[in-house]
Amino acid sequence: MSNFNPDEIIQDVLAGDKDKFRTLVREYGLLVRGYLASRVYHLEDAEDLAQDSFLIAFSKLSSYEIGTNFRAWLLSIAKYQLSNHWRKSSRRANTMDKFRHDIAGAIQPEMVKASDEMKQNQINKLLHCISELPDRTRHLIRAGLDGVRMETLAEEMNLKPNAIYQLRHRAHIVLRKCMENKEPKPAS
Amino acid sequence: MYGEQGTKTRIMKNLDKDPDFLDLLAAWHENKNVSPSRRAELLQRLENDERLRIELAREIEMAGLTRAVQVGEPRWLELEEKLGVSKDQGSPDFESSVMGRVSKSATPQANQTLSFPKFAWIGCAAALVFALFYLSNEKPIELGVAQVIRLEGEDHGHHQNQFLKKGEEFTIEQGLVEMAFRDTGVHLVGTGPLKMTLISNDRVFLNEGEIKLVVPPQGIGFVVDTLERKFVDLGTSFVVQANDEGSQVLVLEGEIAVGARNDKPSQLMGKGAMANFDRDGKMDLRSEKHSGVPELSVPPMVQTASSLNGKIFGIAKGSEPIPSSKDEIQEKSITKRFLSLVKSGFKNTKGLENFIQGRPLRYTGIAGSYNHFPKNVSLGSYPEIHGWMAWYQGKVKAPEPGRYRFWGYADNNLLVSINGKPVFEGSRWDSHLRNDLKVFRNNHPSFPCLNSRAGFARGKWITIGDEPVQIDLLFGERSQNLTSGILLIEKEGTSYEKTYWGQPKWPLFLTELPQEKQLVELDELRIHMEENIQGSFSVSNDSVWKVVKGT
Repeated sequence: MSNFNPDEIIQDVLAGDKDKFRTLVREYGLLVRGYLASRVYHLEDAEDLAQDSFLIAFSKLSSYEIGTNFRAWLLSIAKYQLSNHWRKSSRRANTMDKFRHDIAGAIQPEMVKASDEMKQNQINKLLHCISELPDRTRHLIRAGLDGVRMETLAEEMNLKPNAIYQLRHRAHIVLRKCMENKEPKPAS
Repeated sequence: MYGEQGTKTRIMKNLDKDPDFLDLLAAWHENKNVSPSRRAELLQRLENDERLRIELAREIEMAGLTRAVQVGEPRWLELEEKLGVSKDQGSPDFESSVMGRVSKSATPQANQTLSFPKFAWIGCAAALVFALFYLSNEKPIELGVAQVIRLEGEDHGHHQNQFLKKGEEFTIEQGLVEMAFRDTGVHLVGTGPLKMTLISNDRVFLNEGEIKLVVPPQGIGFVVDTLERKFVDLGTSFVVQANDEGSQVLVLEGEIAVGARNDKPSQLMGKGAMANFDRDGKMDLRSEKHSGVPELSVPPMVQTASSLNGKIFGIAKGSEPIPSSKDEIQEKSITKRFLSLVKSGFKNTKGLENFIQGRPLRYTGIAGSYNHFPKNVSLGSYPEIHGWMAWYQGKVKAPEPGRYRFWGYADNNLLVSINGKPVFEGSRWDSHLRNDLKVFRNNHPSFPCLNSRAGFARGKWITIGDEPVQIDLLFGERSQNLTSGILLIEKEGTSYEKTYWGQPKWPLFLTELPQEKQLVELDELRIHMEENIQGSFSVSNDSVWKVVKGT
């Protein structure tokens, strides 16, 4: 993954081999989806925005300057899509949606830094790291995906809701450490 | 110790016990309601505390990544269309390497046929992670969105009782699959070649193939997506087919809403309606308001000593007030008047004395639509709202001794009695024959039958000896004139030809071989069923139950 050179692929796509664009989608898909999924409440919205981002990237690929940072260029498109989404959804936003926007505004520089510090090769280790979590923790990480509310999960796991956030936070720290430090075991 | 130095993570002591941090997470992830004063307090804290900002940002970032990485392959149809067909079938990809690294024991996904072959590693690897989770947990908490109930055909990498997960793609090359969706109770029968994605417990995306859905009340709102349209169930049974040229839908029962992909208003389609949608989004509504099942012509009905003979009954016009409500229609239906006859072993005919009759009937099998049958057999001025009933009776001899059972269905009434005892009832859900007599019946949704949401019904095995048996057969309509039915017979131990989706072609229950013209029509009906409904039957001289002369 460390040898991945997007510029070569982009040149191929621009030369007419549009199928090669899939390689970029594969390489940066999780980055973009994760970026959006962390900022949008409904996962379906995040997926739609991610697709839109890649569609725009594909149609505007000729405007990307070879030799610069494709990842940053792609994320800037995702950011633009996200701000459009927030602008549209703000019309029907309730008080708590607005509060989330306020939080996002307050931590925007830190959010940028958090996504920047997540290196591509680390993202690719995430699944492996999740698989190494203890069962109970893995279930906790999984539960958010299935629309299980924290209160429900807390009841199911016989914990207080805040304890769920605590555990998840600790799990995320473990995952980050794993992604930073651990080299994947060779396939056998 | 807080904050970023290099790229290494710094564990922030005690922040996970900080109530502000936890409240911010609850507000972010769960939209947890927070009072205005508390909101102001939290925002103030965020403004002043860099450590809190950094850790909250990291927490949110990581939560987003874990959501995205585990959710499976996204359906990026627009992008897929823009890029065209993938030719990227490269060498070992990240999916394979993850599989290799994570476990030697986990089962890899078979038939990887996604349009983004390499990108699909996300879905597969996520599935693998959770497969491991299930394997290592005695009591799995998450059971997937649907379960495979039945699987027929060659090995396709799936197995019976398999739980299918959210976002999982399901592919079979041939054969048949039957699955039930958790929570919604939706029943799906699909025939290969089939490729679909289970988006959630109330939504599937059909890439290719044909599926039939039976949607119970708790599943109303179930959505089938195809490239051209979105089909939303409104309490019904329907069939959706998708291929390279477009998609097609046939509504068997109830109603569905068909939505376009461009936010145009949905269109409602009712029972019997069939529509095609091409890739440009054009809709071609082919039929409406009737089942589309062919109606066979009525052969000459001269009764003979070796035919199974019958009568058709209706309520004389003007003899009774016309019912004005649904309940009254049900209550005054002719079906109910036959209950005492059935309960008496077909001896008590008193209730039938006031009925009018058409011309005498000669049994030629029950197959297809019977919308014009009463008129064709001269049941004159009967009010359609009360319905009609045909009753055939006689002594018949099985082709050979053995155990037999009946299969079939009728909208509305179908009942077979042997020696005065009901052995098969295949009526619609609201029939008095079904609800009042409680004859043993098994439904088979995996074997589609006319417009039956429950598929073919079947009765118990019955043992028939050398001696002739008395047969009584009721078939008819509860109200109005949209009637259809089919009645088949199976002999235990006999091997029947099967359709490619696995239904044995049981023979039509006959007491004499049909005439040439009727055989041609029956074959047309069979083809219609196989192509449009995915039900089938056969006609066989070996299965004819001969009438004992003079009975």
